[in-house]
Amino acid sequence: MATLTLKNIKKVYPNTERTTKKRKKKTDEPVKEKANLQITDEGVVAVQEFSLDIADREFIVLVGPSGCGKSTTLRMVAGLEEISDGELYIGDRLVNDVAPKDRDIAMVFQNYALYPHMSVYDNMAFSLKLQKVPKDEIRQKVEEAARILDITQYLDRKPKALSGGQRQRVAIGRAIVRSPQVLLMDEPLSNLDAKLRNQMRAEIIKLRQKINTTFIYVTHDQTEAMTLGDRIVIMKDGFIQQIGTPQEVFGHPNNLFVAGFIGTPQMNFFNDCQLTLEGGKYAVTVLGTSIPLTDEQQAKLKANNCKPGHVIVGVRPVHMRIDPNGFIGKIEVSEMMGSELHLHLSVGDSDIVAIIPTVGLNLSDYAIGKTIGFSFSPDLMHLFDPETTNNLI
Amino acid sequence: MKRTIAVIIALLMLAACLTACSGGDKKDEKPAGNAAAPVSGVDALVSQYGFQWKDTSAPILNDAGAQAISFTVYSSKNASAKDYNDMKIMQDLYAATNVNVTWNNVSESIYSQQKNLIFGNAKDRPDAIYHAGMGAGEIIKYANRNVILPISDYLEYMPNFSKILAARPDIKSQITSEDGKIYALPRVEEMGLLEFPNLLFLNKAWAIAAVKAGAVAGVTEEDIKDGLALTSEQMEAMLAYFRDNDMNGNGKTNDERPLNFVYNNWQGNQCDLFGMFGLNDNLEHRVIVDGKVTYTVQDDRFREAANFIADWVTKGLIDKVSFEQSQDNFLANGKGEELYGAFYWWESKTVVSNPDNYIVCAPLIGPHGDQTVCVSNNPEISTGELIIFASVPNVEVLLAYFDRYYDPIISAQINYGPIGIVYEEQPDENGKLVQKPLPEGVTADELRLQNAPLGIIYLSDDAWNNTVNMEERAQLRLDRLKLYARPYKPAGVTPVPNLSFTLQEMNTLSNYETALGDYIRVNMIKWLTGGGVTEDAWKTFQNDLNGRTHLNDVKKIYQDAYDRYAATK
Amino acid sequence: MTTAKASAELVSRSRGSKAFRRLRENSPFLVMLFPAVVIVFLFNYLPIYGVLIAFHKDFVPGDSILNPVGGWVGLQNFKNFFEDVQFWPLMRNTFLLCIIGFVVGFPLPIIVSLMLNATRGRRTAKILQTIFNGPHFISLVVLIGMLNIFFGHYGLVNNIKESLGGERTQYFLQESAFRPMYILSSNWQDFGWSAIIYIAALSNVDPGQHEAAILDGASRFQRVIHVDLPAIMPMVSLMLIMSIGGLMGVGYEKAFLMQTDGNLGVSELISTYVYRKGILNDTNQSYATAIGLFNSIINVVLLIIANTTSKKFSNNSLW
Repeated sequence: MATLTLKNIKKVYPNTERTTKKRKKKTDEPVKEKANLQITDEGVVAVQEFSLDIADREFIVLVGPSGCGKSTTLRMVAGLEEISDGELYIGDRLVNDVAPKDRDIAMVFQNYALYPHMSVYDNMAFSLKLQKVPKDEIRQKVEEAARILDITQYLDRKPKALSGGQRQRVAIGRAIVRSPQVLLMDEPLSNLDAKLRNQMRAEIIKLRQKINTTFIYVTHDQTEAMTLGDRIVIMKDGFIQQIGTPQEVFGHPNNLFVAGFIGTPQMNFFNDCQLTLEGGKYAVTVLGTSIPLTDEQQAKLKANNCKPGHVIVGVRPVHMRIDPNGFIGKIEVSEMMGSELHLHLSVGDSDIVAIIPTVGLNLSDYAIGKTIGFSFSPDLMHLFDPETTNNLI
Repeated sequence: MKRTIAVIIALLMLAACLTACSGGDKKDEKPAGNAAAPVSGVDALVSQYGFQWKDTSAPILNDAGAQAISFTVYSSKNASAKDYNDMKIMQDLYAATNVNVTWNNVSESIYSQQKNLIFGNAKDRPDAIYHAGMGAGEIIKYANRNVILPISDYLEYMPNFSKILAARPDIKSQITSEDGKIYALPRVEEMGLLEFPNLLFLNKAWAIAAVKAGAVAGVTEEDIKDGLALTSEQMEAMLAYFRDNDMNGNGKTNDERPLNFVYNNWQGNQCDLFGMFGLNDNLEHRVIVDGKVTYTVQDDRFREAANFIADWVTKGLIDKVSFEQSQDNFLANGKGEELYGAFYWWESKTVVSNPDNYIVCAPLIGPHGDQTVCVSNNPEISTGELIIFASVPNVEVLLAYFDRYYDPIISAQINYGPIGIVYEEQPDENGKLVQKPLPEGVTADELRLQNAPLGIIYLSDDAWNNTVNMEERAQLRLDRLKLYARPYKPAGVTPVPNLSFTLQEMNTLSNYETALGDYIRVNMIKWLTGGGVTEDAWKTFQNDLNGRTHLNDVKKIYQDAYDRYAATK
Repeated sequence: MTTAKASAELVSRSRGSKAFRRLRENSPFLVMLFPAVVIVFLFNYLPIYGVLIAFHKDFVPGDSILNPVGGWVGLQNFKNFFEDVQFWPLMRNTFLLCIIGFVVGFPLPIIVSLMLNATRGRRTAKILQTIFNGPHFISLVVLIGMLNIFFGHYGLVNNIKESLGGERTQYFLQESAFRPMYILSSNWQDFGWSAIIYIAALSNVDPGQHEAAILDGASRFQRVIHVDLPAIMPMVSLMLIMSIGGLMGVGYEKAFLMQTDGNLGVSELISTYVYRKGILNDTNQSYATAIGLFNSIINVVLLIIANTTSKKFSNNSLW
């Protein structure tokens, strides 16, 4: 329903213990994690240089490890946290100093934050009642939302009498009943068990089709991020690491952190690799074997004017393939996942994971302790500068 | 493992609790002295321990007796007093009598809480309670239950006390219960100070200023001296002048307090004001007039007086705070800058910083020419000062010991402090005790309170004449009373003495008297602070007195008891 | 953890009946509880047999309670009390003082705790709370002294009143001033202290609920009404039951200290009357015990009514 623009947003928690803000900070950012954050004279910087344009009806996911500032950012958008610096627009309106209720947003909380003494109906109707919406209209809207979420039969119950998944639906219902321009969700699925989580994830995708609104969704789970987001914002230590579609961040991680964070199992890294430049052609030496790079990669390296030297090579486990002529690795662990096999290999100093399809494999060849050969295609390889951690290609 | 530890801890806690409980029981165990005296009967005491009581200056027991026999006496004590065991007079008494008394001292406030517990704990009582503060009703009830000793059955062992009783039938009848026995030993301190609780003091300089200003008719400057007798009109004019002018010269005309007292205090109260109308009022409003128990509140003059006083209150001549202040507040406000124009009090020295600035007045002369004073029922004989429990072995010895307290020399020391600390070893040429110079930094009062246990004594005219001088302040007050109070008391009027009631009378009194007293008090303050009493209100009041508050029943009981008392006198 | 392990052990051995097993499991706790039970029994239950005094003719300390000296008189002492001229005034005074005190005093700590909880600065709230708790520690005698200083004839209030052109009022001598002074000073002493329990309950409120309410558009006040107040409601109803149970249980000390001739008409309460009858003057302890027992019975009846009512209308009750 609305575009959202964040311009160079910054959040600083002043150093004095006296502030009430610290108490309000979400629990996913415990104090000890602060060590990663930049501490200036002003205080602890939780978020900085956060700039993002969100299109109307876009589904944005903020993802990152604990303490990366994603929740803080969301809460700044909600108006629960003051914006220390920068500008926040909803539509064309600068809302830095607009009260939360006037921002036309709604939020779903991690722990649902339902009012325990109100029935489901009253929970959902509360905001409308406060807005003095006529009773009939409230009833109509609540029932509509309940139908969408399939909780019509629970409307008279108290939250205590509901299961976790049902409570989650009520929490979402409470948010959507107001038809907000922006719907904020703060780790809404993290309190659910794995099965329910998958189910609710699907529900949210369906929900998105049913209601016209812009979503900002915070999670630390990259699977959720990948499946839900139109675009993903990956954050670390208060800084945006990369903004992009799931495909972009998976295929072209900006840096070592994004590469490691997105995708399971994690990307394999070969630390002691050498980038060489011979006769205008770049090549990379991995485990003693020189691998020539593709033309595309060559061009990119040249454009970046890369010097030869130490680099980190990253390859996703799915891009590994069995190759008796390739590198030799010893199988430490072999996990049979059904359609695929996860092999944990030790190669030189590195431990790497390879995922190979099981179709046509003789499993006894991949027992623990055996050695196998493997390789990967150079065009699926990522090169990272060990200094800046940036992706070189 | 953890469980074992938990069990051990729990058991330890339990054990601690149990030992604590049982420890409490052990604490109150009696000293073994009594039990260790297997003798029975006076004859055995005499033969074994040399018990003698006839010679009041010789030891009561021999040394063997001092070893074998001991008593425990429970007593409250003043906060500043030494432990009685450490008091010189008590040690002197032991030296003189060989009677071993162990004192169990508690503070006065604790005693009032513990009194019931002591009586309640029948198995483990002390031998006697000193400063017992027993009411007549309590004495009868415990006497009926044989809890306390009928001391009068043992008078032969108490030569001093017997002598007093023989010489003073009035004392005897006051302390004798209606069954004819004496259950408690009294304190008698007859200085003649208590009967008249008030004196009227007037600010000399202020009065002179008022007279000079011509505010008070019929009084000259020379009249302003001790003994000044003012009419109510003159007093009113005087007080009005105090009220309206800046008498103390501090620039404020509204901080002068013309007439001050402490309402319904045992002394320095409002009762003298009723004397202007010929009433000898007191706090109980009960006085003997020509042998008849009389209630002043039944007198129509009381109404007139109440209206008259209320008028002074309304006009601001009587400081309204008089009706709500405590004695401490009254005393505190008298110090420093002079605020009091006139006040009623026991004496002036404790009230104001410069007592010389105040003269003593004769009672005020009322509008109809009446001039009399309050006659209080504060008895100079306090009954119930010492009781002895009935089951005490060798009680004859204890009584002979306490009898010594009634010896004039001992009484003086009990009351004021021992020879050697308060008094010189050598008496003066008249044989009277002489006060030692005070030690540095101690006031006479402090020294007295530290070293004198007070309690059972007999100090009367005989003692004042032959044994001990009255304190200076007491003497001064006595002189003043002689001049400015006693002459104004009509001959037929006396206070109500301590009376003995039958148990039934006592029950009736306990049923009616509280409500009666409350009813009078509630109405009286309404009248005095509320502008007076109307005809109708007075009628209702009189009807209620005779009706639902049973004044006549109460009065009859007092009359009967007084008649019995008068008959034995 | 201990119990878990112990129970696992015991279950595996499966020895003894179920009840015995549970007893064994809980034995350390039961043993620890034992002293408390003993103390409560010794000091709270055992002395109850003392109410027998109320049926004596005339008890004095030292009498056997089970074998009265004057014989049993049945309900005579109670009858005497009902016929006492003071009976209705005492009932009225006690009841009014307690009811008014309750109406004023019960909501006060709730309001205070809600306000403190809604105060922006944590530090400010803490400081305020400490200040509010302070008066609780003032002893009764000192409090009465303070009342005298403030409300006496030459007290602060009257000084201010006079300087504003008013007449001095003798608050201590006026019947109409007794209840306000008594109740307001009591509440002044205890509102902060009583608020502690509510403040504790409020600290358990999920801050997320407040944030949800903020986003729902609730004002500060609406949040107090819709989030904070419901959160302490169970505590409120519990306290309500207990307060009603103690409604007529006002102590004698304060009223006694504030009593003057002028306010005796309203300041004489059941408890002060008991004190005067039972302890102060020539005493009639049987009569005083009967009055005290009567007062306790009223309290128990009130407690039962309150609890039953509360059980019926909400799910909160003492038992």
